[in-house]
Amino acid sequence: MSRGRGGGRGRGSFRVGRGGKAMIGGQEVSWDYDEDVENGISAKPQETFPPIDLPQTQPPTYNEKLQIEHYRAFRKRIHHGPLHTVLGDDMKIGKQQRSRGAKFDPFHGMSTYTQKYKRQSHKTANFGTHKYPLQGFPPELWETLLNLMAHTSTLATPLASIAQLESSGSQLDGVPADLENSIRYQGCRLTQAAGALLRLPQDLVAQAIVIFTRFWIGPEGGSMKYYGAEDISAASVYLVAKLSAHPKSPRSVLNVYAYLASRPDYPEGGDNDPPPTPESYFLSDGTYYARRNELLKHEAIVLRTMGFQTHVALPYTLCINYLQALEVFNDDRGKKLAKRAFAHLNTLLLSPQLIYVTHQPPQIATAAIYLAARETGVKLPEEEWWEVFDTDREELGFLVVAMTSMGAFAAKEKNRWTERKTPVSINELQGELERRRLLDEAD
Amino acid sequence: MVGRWADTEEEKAADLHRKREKEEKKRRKVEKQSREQKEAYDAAELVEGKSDSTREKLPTDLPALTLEEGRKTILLRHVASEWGPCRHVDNFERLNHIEEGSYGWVSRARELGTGDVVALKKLKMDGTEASGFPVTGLREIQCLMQARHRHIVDLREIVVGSRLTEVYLVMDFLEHDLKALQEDMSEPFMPSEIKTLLIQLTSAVDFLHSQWILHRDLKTSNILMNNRGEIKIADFGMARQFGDPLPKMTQLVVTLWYRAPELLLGAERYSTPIDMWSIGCIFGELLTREPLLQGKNEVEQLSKVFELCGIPTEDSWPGFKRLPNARSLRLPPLRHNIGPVVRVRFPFLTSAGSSLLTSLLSLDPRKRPSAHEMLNHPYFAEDPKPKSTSMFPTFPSKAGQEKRRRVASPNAPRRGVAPSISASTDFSGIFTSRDAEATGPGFQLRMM
Repeated sequence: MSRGRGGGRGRGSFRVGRGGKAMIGGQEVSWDYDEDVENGISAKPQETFPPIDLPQTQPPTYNEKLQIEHYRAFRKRIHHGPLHTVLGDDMKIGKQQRSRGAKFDPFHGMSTYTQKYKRQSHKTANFGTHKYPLQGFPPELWETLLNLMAHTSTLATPLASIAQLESSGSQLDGVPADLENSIRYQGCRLTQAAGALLRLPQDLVAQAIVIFTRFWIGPEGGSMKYYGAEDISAASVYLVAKLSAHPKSPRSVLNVYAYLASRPDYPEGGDNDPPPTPESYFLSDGTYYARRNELLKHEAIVLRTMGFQTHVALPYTLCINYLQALEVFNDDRGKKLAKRAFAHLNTLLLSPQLIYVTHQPPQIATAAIYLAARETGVKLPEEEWWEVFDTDREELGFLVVAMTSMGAFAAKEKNRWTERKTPVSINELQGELERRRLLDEAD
Repeated sequence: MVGRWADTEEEKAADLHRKREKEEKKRRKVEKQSREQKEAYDAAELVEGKSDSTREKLPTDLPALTLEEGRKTILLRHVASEWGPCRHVDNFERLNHIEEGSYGWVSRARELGTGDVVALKKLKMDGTEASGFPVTGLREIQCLMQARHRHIVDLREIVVGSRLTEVYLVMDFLEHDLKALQEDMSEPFMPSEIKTLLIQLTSAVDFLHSQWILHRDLKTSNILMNNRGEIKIADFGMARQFGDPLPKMTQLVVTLWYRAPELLLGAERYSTPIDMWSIGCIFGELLTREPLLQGKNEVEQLSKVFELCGIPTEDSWPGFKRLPNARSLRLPPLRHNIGPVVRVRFPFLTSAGSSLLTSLLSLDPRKRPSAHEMLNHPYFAEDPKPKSTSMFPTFPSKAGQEKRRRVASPNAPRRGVAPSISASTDFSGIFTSRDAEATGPGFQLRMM
């Protein structure tokens, strides 16, 4: 490092000459790359002072180490103890009787008028609450926009999401899908039978079946390994009846279920079989109280599992409305058609395709009318009348196939469970799973 | 398997033919439409008189075509709600207790995830050992889920605790309720403010009735208000859905002071007019800051109603004699001054205002206006105009603790046996004081 040169620069004569040469401190310097100069300058740190022996601290002695360890352990104990406090912003030391009211932030803690101008932060954009002017959008988007802006109607029923249909709590717990279908089917039939014995109107029975169906749906839904189908069915019936104009006491509900359980082949029960003896379905007081607690517990669980969403919209009344709109009640065949359509609606409640939690009532009603009209030979308009009832052709097709396939499904289920009972309780399901495991091992 | 809906050959052919015909028809229609539009366009230009030849003509057939296509495919699609399990209450941090009612405990809380301040209402589960989840709570949840409206308190979700009996409703937090607010104000609301409040209240009630929900417990303490001049109806513990034909319902609804006369007389089939009566009572209360009809029990309440609204006769309320409790009534002899005295009681109200109040407080439920009719009443159109919510005064929030003070006021009735008005109830004396007034000296100017 040349001090003389630096000093020269400090005095500051710096001129750029012609041809890219500069004068620094009276010396001509070229801007061009000069290898000699480059090699001459060393980037190494240079020694400015003679080396000094710095004194070294002694490592801590055994006693000192012990002391430190002891202190640290003590501090840790204090910090984890119950009396240790950390002072926050709103804490004051000493006697402050009146500080209780000041925990509330007067500026942001309560909403004011001007806060409506504050930017709202949505976690995801909320398109639903926005009013779109339709004229500003191409017509092919109108349907989507109208859907976004539509109000949730009472005629609409809550539907299962795609994620919910992909898996179920039971399947995650190792219940095979076919067994799950069987148990659900049997549970629905059980609910229907219980509703009939309780003299509940069919719309309430249908609501109970839909709620029963909803309970098992989705990975967060109920698992058949932990809840018996029979118990959930009883809870659904009790819950639906309670909300309606026909409440039923726990005693009636439990009596009916005890009676049904005493029939070996419930719910259809062949007339040839001897009726069960009253002793077989008598509930003693002790049993009754135990079962009532179970029933009420399951009611609460059903409510929690579906987030208290007890609203069920059904297609029955819509079906009548549509039939009236189609003017089919002019002759006797209209009545037959209505009966047939209602029969389809009832059958569809048991469908393994979970129609009532995947389709809205208008579509179900329209499909039932379509199929019933085909079967009873009633002529309906040539036009695409189902579009009037908000059903497109594809959906109609799917629903009609679902309805026509129910007969085969029911027959299959009946053959399958001739020797044994469908497992509708946790224990029965355990037995069935065990049996399957043994069969698998034998293979 | 072959679906029954699969068409046979000849039907298919017919279908194809139909389809072709239809397309042809559609094409013709589009053509016709565009021609008509063009003609209309030309005609308009003619009418204008100065046909601007330099103006570029729009391609007229284009919009017609797109309109036709857009209209055809729109099918009504409902927005389906979904369901999922309840979250745990630990997602909320309780800030302070607000109040306790017969239905549950309400506290202010903050959602930990978003920082939103909400009201948490814990449902009371007393006496549920025998019958499970209380049906009032279930109805409240059902009604609130269905009634999403700007002026109805928003039920965000339902959260649960670890035990099965712990159920909390997460709702919007609003700073005041109208009752507590009025007690703290030095003067009643101004007429323009009352109009705004009534419009908000009535629009919410109109919406509820259109959704077939009866609130059945409208009163000032159930109307919440924030510092932006917005009110929201809360507490749907008494609410339920009704239908047509009307189902039989309990007469034990609505807090006594706001209870309609047909309920007091024991009607079992009642409808939306009971809510309108309550709105009338709230209207009167907003004008004076005092509840309009403060009876101590059913009998006294009824006599106060008759004092204000007149004695029912077969003319003013056809068929009232057939109500269960009406048979035992002994009414005072008919005189000329048995009509309503609403105008006298509210001398500062304009004539439109007092006609609205009188009609809301009609004894005959059929004569009360519906919420929809009420919104179109001239009272809201005349000066002073309803005040914009942005001009509303801001009120100090009830202490830092947000605790609402309660003064003695009756609660909504409990479920149980309705008390029948005993046979010896004598109303013949309720107008003696008015007779004395009428004959006594002095006069009063009536201000319109």
